[in-house]
Amino acid sequence: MYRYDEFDHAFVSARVEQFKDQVERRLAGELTEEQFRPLRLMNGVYLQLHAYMLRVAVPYGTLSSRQMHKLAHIARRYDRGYGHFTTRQNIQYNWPALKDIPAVLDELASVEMHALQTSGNCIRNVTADHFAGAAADEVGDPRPYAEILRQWSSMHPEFSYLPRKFKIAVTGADRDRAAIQVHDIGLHLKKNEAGELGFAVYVGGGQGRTPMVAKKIRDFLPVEDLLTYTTAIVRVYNLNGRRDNKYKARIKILVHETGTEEITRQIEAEWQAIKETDLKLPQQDVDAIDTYFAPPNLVQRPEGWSGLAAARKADHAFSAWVDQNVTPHKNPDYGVVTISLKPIGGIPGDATDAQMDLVADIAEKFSYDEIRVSHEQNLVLPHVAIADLRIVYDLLLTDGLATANAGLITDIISCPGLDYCALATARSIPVAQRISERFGDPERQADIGELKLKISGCINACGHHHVGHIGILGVEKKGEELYQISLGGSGDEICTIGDITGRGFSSEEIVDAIETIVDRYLEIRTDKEETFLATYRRVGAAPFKDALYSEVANAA
Amino acid sequence: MSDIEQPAGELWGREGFREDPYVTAQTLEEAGDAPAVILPLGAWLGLTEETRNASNRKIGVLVAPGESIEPLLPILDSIPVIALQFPAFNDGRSYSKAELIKNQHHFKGELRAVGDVLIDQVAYMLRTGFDTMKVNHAVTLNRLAGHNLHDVPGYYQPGRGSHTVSGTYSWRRVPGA
Amino acid sequence: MSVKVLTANRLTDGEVVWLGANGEWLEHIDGALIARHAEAVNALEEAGKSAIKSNLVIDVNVIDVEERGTDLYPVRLRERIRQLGPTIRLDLGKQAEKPKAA
Repeated sequence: MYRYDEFDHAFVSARVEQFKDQVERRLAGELTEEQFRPLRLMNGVYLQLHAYMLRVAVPYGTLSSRQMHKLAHIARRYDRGYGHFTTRQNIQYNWPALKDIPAVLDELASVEMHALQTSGNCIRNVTADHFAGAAADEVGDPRPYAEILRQWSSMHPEFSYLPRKFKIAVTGADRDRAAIQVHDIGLHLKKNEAGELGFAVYVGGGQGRTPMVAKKIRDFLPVEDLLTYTTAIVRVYNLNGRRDNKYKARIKILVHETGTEEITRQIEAEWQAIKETDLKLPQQDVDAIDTYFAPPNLVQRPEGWSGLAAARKADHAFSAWVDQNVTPHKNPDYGVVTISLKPIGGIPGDATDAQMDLVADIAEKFSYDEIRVSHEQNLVLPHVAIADLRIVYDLLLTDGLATANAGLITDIISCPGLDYCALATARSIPVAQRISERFGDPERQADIGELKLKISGCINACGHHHVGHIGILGVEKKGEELYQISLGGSGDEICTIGDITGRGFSSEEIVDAIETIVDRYLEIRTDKEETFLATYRRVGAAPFKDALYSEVANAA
Repeated sequence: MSDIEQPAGELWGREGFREDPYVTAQTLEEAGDAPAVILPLGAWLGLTEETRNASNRKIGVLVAPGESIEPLLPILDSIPVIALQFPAFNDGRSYSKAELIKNQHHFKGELRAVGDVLIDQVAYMLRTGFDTMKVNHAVTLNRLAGHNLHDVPGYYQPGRGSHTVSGTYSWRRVPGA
Repeated sequence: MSVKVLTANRLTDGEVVWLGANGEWLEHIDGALIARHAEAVNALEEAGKSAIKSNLVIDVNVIDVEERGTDLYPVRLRERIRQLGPTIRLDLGKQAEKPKAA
């Protein structure tokens, strides 16, 4: 993985020193809250309902064991013994005191981490496929490009006061695990006919109040043009994006209002003017960054497969976990392990300090020191030998980290909602917990199969409900929490925004409503191979609406 | 924090504060016989070429964030100063305009930032191509007077007032001419 | 009938506080200064403005509460969650504190 050089260290230290000075001036009353607010936001410090919240960037979701141990230490020393992994591959601490935050940033800097640009109207933490560098279906590792973008976007003098926040995601496989089409810029790393690497470029996707699927504006952009082309896109946006209305300020609205053809013309024209400038990437620089992400030298472990069969036979729960949470690796002796942060009835994405330490220890011994954070709020051990799966499973089991539900209905994405968030209009975590309990039986959820359920506690859609196969949006209506359901959303390579079923459901009704939908799916699927999403795409919303509104009406 | 009070009427550049030779007016008539005047874009574009190029006075142009700089680009050589407005610190359009004017279209005159500028933005402005600043933010004025630009030791992007360093990536720069 | 109180978060650590009848910022809603009519609400708002200026608290808001016996019960769920803590972690927030010995 990428390692800071002196340049990076000096840069991050300078930023920490500046923030230390700003916090001191704020506490001394020399800065007003109005003046301090944009400064703290630039360092990832929010004010939530109960306390400040610190959002720490995990660039493209990659962590070493040492970094994970540090995150655990911060949870223990400065917070309440846990952290929350988010849908942007970041981690949030919910209880830090303002006066402690400079010390936390110092601790982070000591392991080459920071909280820069995790908030504000700037280019945010660049995200990537959480299986990058490991997945069997990968064309190229997206992380070197995400790292180049991370550097280039850090304290960008031209792009730090954009109309609104700006999110870039990169994927390196045809199977899109990074949801690139719901990002401001989505980059799909691929090879052209000559075998050269480049990107398909998508622009103007996003969720929030007005969800939009991104438009592909270029089918193949050579790697050397990554920064010039991105600059052209962001410049066109900075100059022309709307600033009169916060809810219309994202690039998706500009693309929509301008038209794909015209916005592409503007971007291409700007790009022609800057294509041959200093930002054109020399191959040697790309290669140098690439070297940091060279795959670890995996030891041959062919003995794993025979032992695995026996172990699976002996332990049904282990076997279910292998089926559900282990994904094929490039190297057939290895697997990619998803560590579910969704225990049945638990809080999606939360991990205790002890769990973080355990994962760090396991990664050090069994995954070549690498950990990933997924946008689905899980952790990933990217390089685990098949021969080590049993021992890794047993270790995970010791602290509730071996739930065999990756991709199933209880692997719920949920934003913090009204239990923590100052913007939320309804709670989301308790709904996730109740749904998880309702469907917690392993046989039952395995029978239901792949089903991505996502919950947001307000219109900002941090819980990605628009791209949930089943999405739930919590709102406040007449002082009560009300939950709207949408169906058929998907954040993968065939990206769709879910359709709202109709009137919302109360907190008491919502879990039954979800069960009604799932039961109807089980009745009408052609066979077990037809997933919920495939069934929905075949039959549309009508059978589900029927079940939902006639049954609820009957029950009343 | 320094308590030095700087008059808001003064102009700041890399060398420090100096007196602003320009007066700002809505029309040429309003400016009387001032030798250097800055007019809003609309008024400036309404002048005849002869008036703009008159040798006895300098006439600069003030551009609001929502106004297009397109009409100025073909005639940059005839403009002594372009002032880009920052009515609010969070409106960043003028940074991109600075890039276009200075770096893509090679404007040789003075590029000026006018308005609500936070101290943390000054280094960004210098790097995107601004030469001078006319600031109304008291904290910023104080900090500028104390020569504290809140800058970092290295940049991850090319820009004005910085140079390349050998042995590192092509996009990186360090401060200095 | 709902009345109003003034709430905020403390600058140094973000702790939820309410303006007390004694003029102090309290960590619990009991003892909060209650405004029962428009003039008193104005006074709360003024107190809020001056508290922001004095850099003790941030995010100051006047909120609706109901008087239920001797207890104050915030009308909005959001404010009840601020008063107690996350509903999904009863071990965190004010709800987790041990009740004061009588």
